[in-house]
Formats: sequence, C-alpha cells, structure tokens
Amino acid sequence: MPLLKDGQVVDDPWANLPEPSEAEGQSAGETAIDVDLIVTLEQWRNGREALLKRNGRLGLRLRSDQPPAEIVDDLEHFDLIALEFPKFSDGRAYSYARLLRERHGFKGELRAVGNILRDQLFFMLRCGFDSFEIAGQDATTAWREAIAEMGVWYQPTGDGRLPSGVLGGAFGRSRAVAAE
Amino acid sequence: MPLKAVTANRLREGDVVYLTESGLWSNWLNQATVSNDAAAQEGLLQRAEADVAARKIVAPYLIDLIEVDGILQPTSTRENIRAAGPTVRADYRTAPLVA
Amino acid sequence: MYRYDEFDLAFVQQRVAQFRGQVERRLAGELSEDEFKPLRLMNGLYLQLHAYMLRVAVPYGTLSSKQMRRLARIARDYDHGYGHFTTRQNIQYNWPKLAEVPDLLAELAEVEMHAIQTSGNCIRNVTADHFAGASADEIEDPRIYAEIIRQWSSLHPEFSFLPRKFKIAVTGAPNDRAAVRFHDIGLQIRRNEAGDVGFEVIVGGGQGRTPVIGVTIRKFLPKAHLLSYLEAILRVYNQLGRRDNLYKARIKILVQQTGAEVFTRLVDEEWAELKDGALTLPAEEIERIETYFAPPAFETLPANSPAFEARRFEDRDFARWVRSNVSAHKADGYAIVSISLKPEGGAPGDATAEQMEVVADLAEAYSFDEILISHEQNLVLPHVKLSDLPAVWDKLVQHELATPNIGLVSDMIACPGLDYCNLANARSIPVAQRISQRFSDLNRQHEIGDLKIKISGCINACGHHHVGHIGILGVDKKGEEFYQITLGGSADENAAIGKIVGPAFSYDAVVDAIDSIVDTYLGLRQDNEKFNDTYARVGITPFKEKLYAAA
Repeated sequence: MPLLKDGQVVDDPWANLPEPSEAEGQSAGETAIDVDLIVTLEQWRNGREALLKRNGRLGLRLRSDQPPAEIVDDLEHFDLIALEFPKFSDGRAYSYARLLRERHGFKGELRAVGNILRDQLFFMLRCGFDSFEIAGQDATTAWREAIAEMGVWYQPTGDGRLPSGVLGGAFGRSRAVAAE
Repeated sequence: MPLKAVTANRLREGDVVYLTESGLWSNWLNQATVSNDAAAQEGLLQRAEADVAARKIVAPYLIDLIEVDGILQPTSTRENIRAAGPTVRADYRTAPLVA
Repeated sequence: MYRYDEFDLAFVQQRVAQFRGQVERRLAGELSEDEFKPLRLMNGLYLQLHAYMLRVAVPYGTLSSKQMRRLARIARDYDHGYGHFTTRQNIQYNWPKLAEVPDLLAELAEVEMHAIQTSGNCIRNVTADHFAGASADEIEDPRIYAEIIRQWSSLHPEFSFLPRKFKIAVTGAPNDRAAVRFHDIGLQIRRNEAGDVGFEVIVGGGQGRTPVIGVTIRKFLPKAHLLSYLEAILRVYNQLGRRDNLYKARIKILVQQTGAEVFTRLVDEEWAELKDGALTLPAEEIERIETYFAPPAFETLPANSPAFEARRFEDRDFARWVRSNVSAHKADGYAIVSISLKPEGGAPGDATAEQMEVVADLAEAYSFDEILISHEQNLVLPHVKLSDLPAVWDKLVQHELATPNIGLVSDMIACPGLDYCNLANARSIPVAQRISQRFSDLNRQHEIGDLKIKISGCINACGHHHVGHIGILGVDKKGEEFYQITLGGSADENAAIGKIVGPAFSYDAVVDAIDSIVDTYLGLRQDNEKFNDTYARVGITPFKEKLYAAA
C-alpha cells in the first residue's frame, strides 16, 4: 500500500512485527535489531522488555477500539503511532488523533491506516495525522486535490490553522483586510 | 417460481427503469423482460450488474410481478408506487394504483 | 438575519466545486456507488424510491424573500415544480438529476444556502424555534447560537464520521416549539438567578424505534463555553457510541447504557480539559452574530388596529383564520402569521414554486423580508402589522395558503412515507389527506381544538408519531399497509411518548379509527380540556373500548 507523507509517496522505512502465527517462532528479539518496527498493543504488552532493548525505532498500531488513553504513560517509547480505520465510517480515530496531539503531546509520526479514502485526507490532516496509507494509482494527485479543495474551515484544532467564523473572528477580519 | 423482472435506477438521472429484452433500460414496466425461471432470473441480474459496471444504472434487483390481462403489475405496493409514481396527487401518477 | 461573510461564501462555493468533482469522478467510474454514497449523503443527496432526492438546509429555519424565490426557481428548473418542507427545517426536492445537482447547489450558494450535512452520520442542520425573534416569551433569539453551532459543526474534521446522525435544536423560550427534549442535544436558553443568560443542556432525546425523552446534564452553561461543552459531548459520543449496531448507535442509547450520571461525568471530565481553550466564545463575537439577528425596525404602534378589528368583526372566515393562524408578537401592533401547508386533501409540507413566490412577496411587503419554517411543516411570517393582516390573508386565500388549521386536527405532520421513501413500510401522506378530508368541516375542527396528529411511514419516526397526541405508525403486515395508533404523546415542554392503543388498523380502517378517537375525546372532555389532559384523566381504556367495540 502506498504511503503518503508530506504530499509525496515515499518508501516506508517501518516494518510490522509479524504475529507468531505468520512467522513461526519469530519474536521481537529475533527481528533485526535495528529495523524500525511497528507493534500491536498486544505485542507491546507481551514483549515490552525485549522491544525496549532493540536499537531500531518503535511504532505502535492501535485498533479503533483501543483508545490511546490506555498507553499514555508509554508514549515516550514510540516514534510512530498508527491508528486504524477498519471502515472509513468508523471515525473514532479522528478523536484519538486529536487527543494524542493536543492533549498528550505526541510529536512523532501519526499514521492513518486501514480504509482511508481520498475525501477524508483533509479531515485527517486537521486532526493531526501526518502520514497515510492510501490505496489507489495516483496518491500524490489525490492528495494535492484533496488538500486544496477546501480553503475555509471553522474549527480550531491542534494543527494551528486559524479558523474563520466566530472562533477566529479577529483573524478572519485581519484576513479580510489582507485580501483587499 | 413467480414471474420476475429486474428494476434499477438510472445513474445520471435517477429515474426508475426496467431491463428490456434488447438489454436497454425502459421507464415502462410493460416493456420489461420477464421470467419465471430461477436461472434465467439470475441471468437477468447478471446483465444488470454489467450495466452497473458500465455506469448506466445503480442498485438493480428482482421484483415479483403478476400479469393481468396482458399487463404486468408488481405484487408489492412499494413496487407499484415505484412503477407508477406517488399516489399523493393524481398528476404525479402515470397509472392508477392497483390494490 | 445572518449574512455570509466572504469566508462563508468561499466555503459553500468550494464545497460545491468539491461535490462537482465527486459527481464527475462517479460518472467517470473513478468512484463506485459504495464509495460515492457517503460523499453524496454528506451533501444531502439520497437515492429514493423514484429518483434522487436532495435535502437542502434552511439553517434554524430562517429564509429571506430572495432565498425563498431561489427555492421556487430550483423547484421549477430542476424539479417537478414543488418542494417538500420537512420536520427538520429542510426542504426536499424529490426529482433532481444527479448530473444537475452540482448546478443546483451552485444556485443555492449564490443565495447563501447549501445542502451540507443534511444527511450522513454527522451533525445535521441545527434547528430552532419557528417563532424565533418574534414571540413574547423569548429570553433571547436562539438563532444567534444556532448560527454559532452551524459554523462550528460545518465539516468538523473530528465529527464527520460519528456512530450515527446527530441532531441539535435550540429554543430561547420556555414554551418549547423546537422539541428540545427529543434531540440528541437540546439547548434551552435560561436565565440564572444572577440574571445571566446561558443554556440548559439536554442530551439523549430522540424518536426512532427507541423513543427517549432527553435528560438535562447541565442546568446552566454560560454562553462563552457553549462550543467547548458541545465538543466535549461529541468527543465522548464519537469514542464510546456503539458502532456495531445501527439501531443502538444514537447517543440516547449511550446515555441509557452508561447512565446519565456517568455520562455527565465523562462529559465534564472532557470539558475540564477543553474549557477556556480555543473554543471559548469571545463576547464580542457573540455580539457580532447577535447584531445579525437584531430585531427589525418595528414601528411604534398601538396594541390594536381598527382596520384589523373591523375586518375581524365583519368577516367570519378571516376571524376564524386569525384565531388559529395568528399568534401574539412581542411588539405592539404586530402579529406572527402561520401559513398552513396543510390544505384539505394536500400533502403536508408540500409547496408549489408559485406558492413559494407568493410567500416571498408577502414577506418582502409585510414581514421585513423574513420567513420562518416550522418543524410542523408550515411557514411563518414572523413580523406582520395587525393592520396588514387583511391584505396578507386576501393574498393567501388566492393561493390556497390560508387554511385556518394551525394546531388543529388537520395540521398533521407526515413523513414522505412509501410514496417517496426507500425506508418506508407504508404510505403516510395519503392517510393525512384522507384524515383532512374526513375533518373537512373547519368549524368542527375549531370545535375540536388543539390536537396534534403525527404520521410516520416506518419506525424511523420521521413523522414524529411518538409525540403526536394521536400518533400513527405505518407498518407492513405481509405486504399490506397497516397503521398502529398511539395516544398521549407530546413534543413540547410537557414531553411525553405516546402509548400504543391496540392492534393496528388497515389502510381503509385507519381514518375511521381516528374519527372514533376524536369522538371519544369530545364525549369525555370537560370544559375546554385538551386532548392529552382528557387522556391523562380517563386513561386509555375508554378510547380502546370504543375503537375495538365491534371486534
């Protein structure tokens, strides 16, 4: 699946730690010690000590029924958190993303994975995601269009974009002056 | 096996249509191609699915019909209303509602 | 009324362009129906029984004459010459073509209107009291806050994929005309003991297959915190609302399952984090929005108008219309006019393009260019001089808009039902039409008095049957239309859910059943007792006995 980051399709430096059933006997300790590894919450809980001994960076993948509140105290160990959208209509991860960014101060890569549609990219960006696993032929074009479509928004979020309307009143007026 | 035809809505316009023998879609139920054979009905549905892929129609399905004096009528009220328009005003209808 | 600034305008225009692109991608085959459906729904476009249906928002129910004329033009140019006003202050067009919808939306954007979030699992069009800005019992105009919520909720990046749809209503008056106890969130403007104005926050009301009366989770919320508190509620719901079962996904089920106390605590914990942050409403911004809803320049008039009184004395029909369709206004010498969209034999809420234009002209000439849409599917001219009432009435009569039945037995709410709707099990509108024909004697209707009949064509309850004094629910019994009747519901400040009276009636028998219930009521009522009071006093048995006596 292509990975979009900063508007470009990039090679993914991260690997997923296979479940035991997929790669027999393999555990965190046996994967190359310097590979950047994404683990599930269960893998993290079961293999915490071994995982922390590795040299590679560590990422965490959360299902949509695993609120990040459960791992707030461990955030410092992760350079990446991947939040799953099992169906595009399951919008829990939008809240999780904002909580991670705006409340828990997560500064690493926040990746949207699962059923990611082009028409949701802008919402995701505004909630704090900065990388996206997106299917489709031309992800870069899709990204460019999806980001440019709406140039006005009303909600302040942690991304720092200032809103129009009542929550950006002063800003809105100064923008209006600047536009004249 | 009851008599059945395939209905759908046109993608661009949205109007109610029925699959005809020639493979075209008609707004008139009486032009629908019908069958009381399960395999043939499945065949009709497959032809319709091809037209979904071709972006002619959306949401095709089979409906039950009866033939009265050579005129095809849906057995359900819902399909009767779909075939002939809302019953709320005479001028919205193309045919009377058959109970 | 509110006017778009350049950003609001850019917002709706960009949204139209975005949807135009989505339609092009659909027609070009880049999007499948499954992928396109959520996108079109977020723009209010359904595929219904006969055709596409577009639901256009009338935010907090307020229209200018120019906007109403545009709605009329759209009905004529893109549809079959009429539109349907719904219970949620929307107008629905029943026959637009997909390929033409982007142009239709562009026409709406030109008059500061849109169809954004009139469907989908997002925050829907915010509704308000249909006497907003005009009624004497109002503490503040609820539309100020409905507009603020409209902005905050428009394409909210976090709350566009909620477990289920989410409806917010605001009322500024103690007499609840906005059914705030039957919304996901209801906001009742209150004045506290210190004299400050804020909101009572009611959560978890709703109809559908599980009707619930909302619970108050905050007695008084200061204005500045309105949006942070709403965001806290939505954030709790977005994370915890059920997503495994469509029928248990509304916030009312979450509130029931967690319990109101625990739910309130969860909201308060979230709110503690958000309070006083970027969502705090600056007082000057509230004032800025307030100025848009400042009362028009009412003339100083005497409380009575001789011309009006004379006409009322001379003309019984006019007097009867005044009795049912004209309400007290906060300014002396003015009145609120309700325009009934429930003529005898008509489809409740339908208006032709010509009728919309007549109402637009009347609003321009006599009501400071303002029209309101009621959740009871009628139109309102909020600010008419008493002395102008005869002229307004004469014009309404000419266009079948003067039916004197507001609040009476033939002023029914009815959903589109099986005549239009993909979800319906039975027809609603023809039942309403037949009831209005049965009660065609207007004097008899006035004698019966206030009586709300509400009809839904399926359990989704778009016709509000749960809260009708008499509720009618269409069900499918082996392919036949049947109608279940409930008694004693109410959507106002005395919120109540109706009780099923007994076995359902056939399409043919349902009108007789309603007649029987009304007869029973008339036989039992004392003095001017209202239907629900009689029902509360005598119980369901007398109604039941008479209804099922023959069986």
